Amino acid sequence: MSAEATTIPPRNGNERKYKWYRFQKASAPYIFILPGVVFYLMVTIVPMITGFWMSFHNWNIIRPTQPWVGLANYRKLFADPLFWTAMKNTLTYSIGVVPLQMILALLVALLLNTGIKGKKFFRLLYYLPVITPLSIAAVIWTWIYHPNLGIFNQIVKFIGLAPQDWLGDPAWAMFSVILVAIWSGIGYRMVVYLAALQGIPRSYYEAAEIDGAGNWDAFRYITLPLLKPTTLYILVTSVISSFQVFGLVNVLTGGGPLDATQVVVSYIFKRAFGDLQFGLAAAMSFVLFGIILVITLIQWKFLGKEVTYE
Amino acid sequence: MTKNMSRYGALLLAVVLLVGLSCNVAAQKKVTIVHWQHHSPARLELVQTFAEEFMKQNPNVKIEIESVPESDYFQKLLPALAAGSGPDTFQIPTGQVPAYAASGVIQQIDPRVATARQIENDFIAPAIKRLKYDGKYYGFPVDTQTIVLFYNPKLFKEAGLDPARPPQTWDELIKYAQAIHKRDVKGVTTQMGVATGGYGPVLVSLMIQNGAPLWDNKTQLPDFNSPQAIEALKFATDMVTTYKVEDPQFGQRYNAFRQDKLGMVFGHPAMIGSFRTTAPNLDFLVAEVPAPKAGGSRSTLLTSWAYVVSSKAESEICSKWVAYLTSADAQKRWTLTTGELPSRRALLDLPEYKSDKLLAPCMESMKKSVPAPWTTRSLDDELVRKAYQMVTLKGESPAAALKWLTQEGIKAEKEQQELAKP
Repeated sequence: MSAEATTIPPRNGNERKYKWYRFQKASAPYIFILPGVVFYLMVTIVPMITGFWMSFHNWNIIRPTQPWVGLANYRKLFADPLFWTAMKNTLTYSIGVVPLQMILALLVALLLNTGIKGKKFFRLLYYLPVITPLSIAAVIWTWIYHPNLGIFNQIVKFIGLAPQDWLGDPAWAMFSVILVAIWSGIGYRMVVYLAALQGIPRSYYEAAEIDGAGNWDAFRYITLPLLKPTTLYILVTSVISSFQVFGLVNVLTGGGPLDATQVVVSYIFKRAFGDLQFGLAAAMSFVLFGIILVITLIQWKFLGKEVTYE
Repeated sequence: MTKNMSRYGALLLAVVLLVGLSCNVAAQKKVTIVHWQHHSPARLELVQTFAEEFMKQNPNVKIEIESVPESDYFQKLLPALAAGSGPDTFQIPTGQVPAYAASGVIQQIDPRVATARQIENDFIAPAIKRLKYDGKYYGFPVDTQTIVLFYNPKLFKEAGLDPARPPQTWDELIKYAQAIHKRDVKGVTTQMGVATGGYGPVLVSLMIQNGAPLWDNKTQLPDFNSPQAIEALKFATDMVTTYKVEDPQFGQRYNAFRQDKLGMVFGHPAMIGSFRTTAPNLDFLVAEVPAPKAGGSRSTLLTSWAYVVSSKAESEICSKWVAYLTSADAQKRWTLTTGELPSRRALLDLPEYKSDKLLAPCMESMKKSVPAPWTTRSLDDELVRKAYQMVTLKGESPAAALKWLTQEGIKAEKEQQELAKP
């Protein structure tokens, strides 16, 4: 006998008690999620609405009154060449980081999913950059990129190419940042892919093998389609986080040289906390939000269909 | 009649007693001053010592110090001020004092502690110019810095130069740098002659020295489009592009100087403290910056922060605390401990500073210093550095770079002026 059966008051007995029971049962889930919802409202929704409101004002955070300026902040940002430079840089960063990071993460996951020796060691090796504090990673990479003493230029010279000022030359700075971003992000995506790979039933591969499929066919027609939901998840979250990149750029280049690595979020931060232009910075945040939303919806539209082999 | 008088007398006595008691209670009430500043270990240690001394002298005061890393400082300070939960006393860049004062988040220095006239008598004019808003002073200067030339006597000797005679003119500076600069067979720099690092205050100092006005008095906006400014920027960028005595690929300039790999470097006097702590064996000397031509100007840009009092704080005691932090005795200790220069007139000519080979040139540079005419912080370094990079990295002409700097400077200054409107 279930616990429920013992606690339900009889319908034909005390009507009030029965209604109270029904109310409790209906409201219990909401009460359970209430703390989470309140927290989410407080730290996400309310600040979002406030930010939206802020974007229509000449908002000075320390001034008691904030003059309404309508769409002036939006007009100002659309006319600001540096905002578009930052947007272009963000897009370059995203295109440079996301596909390569995903491909490399999948390759590593596929290798680690086979029976190679030292699997745990390699998993740890690839995951270490994820847990390395950004400031420490930045110091290490600054030395790797050092124009005279850095190992990067030693390798470049060894293969007969000209050494470069990797972080100080506008032509190379974004490439250098992208490289660090790929290095630091492979581990997390590898773990997600690895979990998904281990969730694909072995029987599919056995059946394919009986049908004469080779490794490539198995990968192409079984692994890749069944990884689609995971790929979509990684793609969406990677694109979002690449559009929100800030810390890495801030510690490696500070957006320089000559704004070659200035990304949208670092520009928003500079305009808000450096120049006290909070209204304008809020408007930029909403434009960025709109762009991320559109890109995410497009990704869902084209990749959102699930694949199953039932 | 007598009965009535004694009644009134008793009543009067009771009132006097009550007033006296309440005054006593008020006097005994403990005041807590929450003080924020951006972090540096040496500065924190010194401010903590000052706080202990101040609390001893004022037993009803408790000071709570919070030292915030500079990178997070404004992220923490601004929302706290907006929420009304900010500190009682804190530091801000002097250029931002008008914007904060106009917003009403800081209050003027209590005249019971220091009147405007006293402040003007005690401090040198460039250090307090930007602390005045609407005829009132809103803070005391701290972390006042000029630009001086650090040089390495060992590398001077190796290059056949006399360490007792640092370069006197810009031409000499280049000659000295050429003598010191070394390259290997492949042309890679192994020892560098001189470095400005493209650092904004150094570049602005060169322009000031060269007589560039930097400011249009008619429009009250920045103006870098003068032949003097162009010549100064050309001089700085020529070190990289023409004379090749500064190599940006050589790495961080102060590290190179610490490792005896850089002959001369422009920097703030506070670097004295940094070199002493981080490279105790480094032998270095300090000189005033060389003049553009023999007998020319050695004036440099004065940069500083201000200790200010929140408008919600208890006026007199908090003003007293920030005054204590910038008192003559405190400034002497700042100079000794952190290398921050004194801004009080009485201290600049102290015999102990005049006889100190490192501090004497710094004190001289302080006397000749000029504050920036603008209020926007981005013009102190960021935008000027970009103009420099436009020449060194993109090959644009100094005139074109300064035209761009003027346009961007005007935009930034207008924004700040808008914020400073009451």
